[in-house]
Amino acid sequence: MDLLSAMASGFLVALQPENILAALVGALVGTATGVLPGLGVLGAMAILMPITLHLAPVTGIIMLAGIYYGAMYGGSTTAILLKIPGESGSIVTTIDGYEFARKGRAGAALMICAVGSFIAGTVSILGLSLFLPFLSDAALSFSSPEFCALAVLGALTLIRITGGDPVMGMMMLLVGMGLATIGVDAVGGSTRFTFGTESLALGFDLVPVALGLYGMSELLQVLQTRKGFPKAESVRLRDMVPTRAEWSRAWPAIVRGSGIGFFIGLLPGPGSLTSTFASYGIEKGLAREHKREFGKGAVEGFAGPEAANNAVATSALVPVISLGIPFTPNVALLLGALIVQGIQPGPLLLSQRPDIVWGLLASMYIGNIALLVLNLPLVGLWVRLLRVPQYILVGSIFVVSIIGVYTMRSSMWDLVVLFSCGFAGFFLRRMGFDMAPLVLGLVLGPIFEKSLRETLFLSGGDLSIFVTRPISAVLVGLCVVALALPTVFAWVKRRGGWSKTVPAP
Amino acid sequence: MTFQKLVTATLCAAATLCANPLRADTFPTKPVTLVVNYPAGGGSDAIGRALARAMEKPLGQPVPVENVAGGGGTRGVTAVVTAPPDGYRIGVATNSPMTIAVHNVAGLPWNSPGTYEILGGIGSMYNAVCAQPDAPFNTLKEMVDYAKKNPGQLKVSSIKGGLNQYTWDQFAKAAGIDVRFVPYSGDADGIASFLGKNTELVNLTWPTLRAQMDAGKAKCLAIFAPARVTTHPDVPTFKELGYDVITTSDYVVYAPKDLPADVRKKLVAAVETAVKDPDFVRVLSAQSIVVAFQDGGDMKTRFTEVYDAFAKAKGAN
Repeated sequence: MDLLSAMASGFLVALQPENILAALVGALVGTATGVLPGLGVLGAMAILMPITLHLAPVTGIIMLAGIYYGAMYGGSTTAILLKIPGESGSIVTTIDGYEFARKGRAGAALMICAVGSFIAGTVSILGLSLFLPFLSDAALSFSSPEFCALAVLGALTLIRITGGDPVMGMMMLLVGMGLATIGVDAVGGSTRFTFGTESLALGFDLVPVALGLYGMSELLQVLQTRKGFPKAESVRLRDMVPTRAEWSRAWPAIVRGSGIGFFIGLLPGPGSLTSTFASYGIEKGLAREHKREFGKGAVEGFAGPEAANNAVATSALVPVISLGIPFTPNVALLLGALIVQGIQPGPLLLSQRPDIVWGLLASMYIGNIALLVLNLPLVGLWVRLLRVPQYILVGSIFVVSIIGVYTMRSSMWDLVVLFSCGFAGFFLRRMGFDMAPLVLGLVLGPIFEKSLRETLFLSGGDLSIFVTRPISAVLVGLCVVALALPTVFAWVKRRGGWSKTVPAP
Repeated sequence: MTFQKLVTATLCAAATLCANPLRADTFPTKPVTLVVNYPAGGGSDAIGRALARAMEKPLGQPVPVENVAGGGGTRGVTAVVTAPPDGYRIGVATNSPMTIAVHNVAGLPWNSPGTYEILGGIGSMYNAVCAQPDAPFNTLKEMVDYAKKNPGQLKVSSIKGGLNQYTWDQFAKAAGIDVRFVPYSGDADGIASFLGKNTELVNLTWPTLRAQMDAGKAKCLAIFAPARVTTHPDVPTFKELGYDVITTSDYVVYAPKDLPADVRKKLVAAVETAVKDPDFVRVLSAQSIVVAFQDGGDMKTRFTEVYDAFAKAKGAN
């Protein structure tokens, strides 16, 4: 009952005209930032933040939050149509979403993503409103030893995520982890492997690397093979609506993706990216008859991840609202917006300013509906984008990507990274290497290193800390299982046992 | 042809000569860029944006903010220091990149506080030490006694390498205690670890700790400030408890060296005015930053002290 009245008071705040308008503006700007590759959510939020100073605190934060979750809707658009991830959370979508669009189903893919994002957003707001106090304690029971074990488990299970040769996958993972060590070390703050140059001290940022490996290399591929981008065969509404068969495969993936994203969002780290990898891995692992379709346009392969990154956007608010701790720069900015308004974030926010917390949550229900209403009609428009002559499209993508990457930190080095990764990706793909493990290594490497070092500082160098803490012990156990399983299965297969029931590892 | 060139050159030279005194009277004639050395969205960024808006009125020109992040904050400083010294590119930063990170990054085109120009300090932030609410000690003295009886048993969450560790080491040395220093990469990770009950103590910035303390999730033992803070007069300072250790994170506005005297004067005046701007004060106070204009010369002396201390520590390793 208490919850209901809290929620009702939240809707009273969120339904005020200026707050509805703020949610709409935020959602619109967010969609635009998501669609434009390179232009980050953080940049858009930072630019709009000064404007929110002139608004009421709750209105301002509703607008900023709208940009934040709105971008997760938009990010999939270019990933599906052009194989260019609009945000880092859409990297995984480029794998199957793009192939799906190649089959002439671009409109259906975009619709599935929009509906999936809506479901994930709504489900996780519901989860957030119901379990807010409990979730913050759960998040705190994860500390450095648990993150370290989780990173190893992630690397072990996701390495073969997009199929292909495990050895080649491992090579790419190690390259990614190696690249991640270049630059400023997150624990000590000293620079490594820079050869005394200022450029290398900047390191390899995820955005230019991913945009290069996926977007730029795809552009080179398009130019080289002249096979072109997917064709927009029809933009009639009837042809863009997903078929019943597509839906029935998409919705379980969406539900699972929402759950995974909701959990991962509670933890520190680049959740929007890691959750998509996790979702993809799980969908592929669960697939039976459609397993071979993964990498060639499986519906589950983009429906799940797109739901996951939207769920993350919501659940990442838990540590901020309940503890005042921002785990990602995006939510740090939301926190900053509150601070600037003279509101002290922290564990007392919920009891001192329930209007802000519940108003924000209620506005997110409204924002998600607005995003769905906004994005469904836009699908037709985006699909028409594919009718733009190739020479204009390719040139424009180059320009937008370059501007986006450059504005991120005003650095020419990032452009060097963008183009080198573009060429490297082009050639590596022709040699049969898969790019996903490299990106994964770049993301998991720093998490692994940082949490390992923090753990050892905490325990004074004693490795037993990994097995004496219950959660970490379970995760370490899962790592052992993940390592042993393929060997066990291979052995059983060689002996001819379980002939029918052996699932592919 | 040559004659034409000569005339053009003379005219250009004359124009430049005339332009110089003219510009001095009217500086600034175009927008003044303010470089923030951290990415958009952090505490430094909020301060930078508030400062930029507050400086627009006295300067009479727009003050766009440019985020040049990376290299532990040193890259932003480089972007300012290597700009032409005409006053159109200035920066705001804390002492951390200029006095500490500077020793860890190779090949910087600047080093000691004499290689750039500090226009003035705009505010300071302090560190504090808190304990778990159920810790077997309630005051700093009891904590020190406990740590002496149980050497190596206590752990403190903090941040490595920067001012946090510097201050903690100074205090631990003065108190003669052996506490395990557990470094995290930022305030968020450090406080999360403390709240997850991984460490008994925490040494982070006051704004971060204050929020947890107000909620009863931490008890504050002492603050590394020169005087008690007005909002929490019951928190003692390390100084009054007999440890002469103060950590200040000082925010300064700086520019390339060799600014023309009149340009410098105008910029300093603009900073001084901005610091009194109510919106600016509001943004900084909300982060529990003590806002006050401080003379650039004094700040240079303070920066040099810390810079030298870290240079010495680095050399000793």
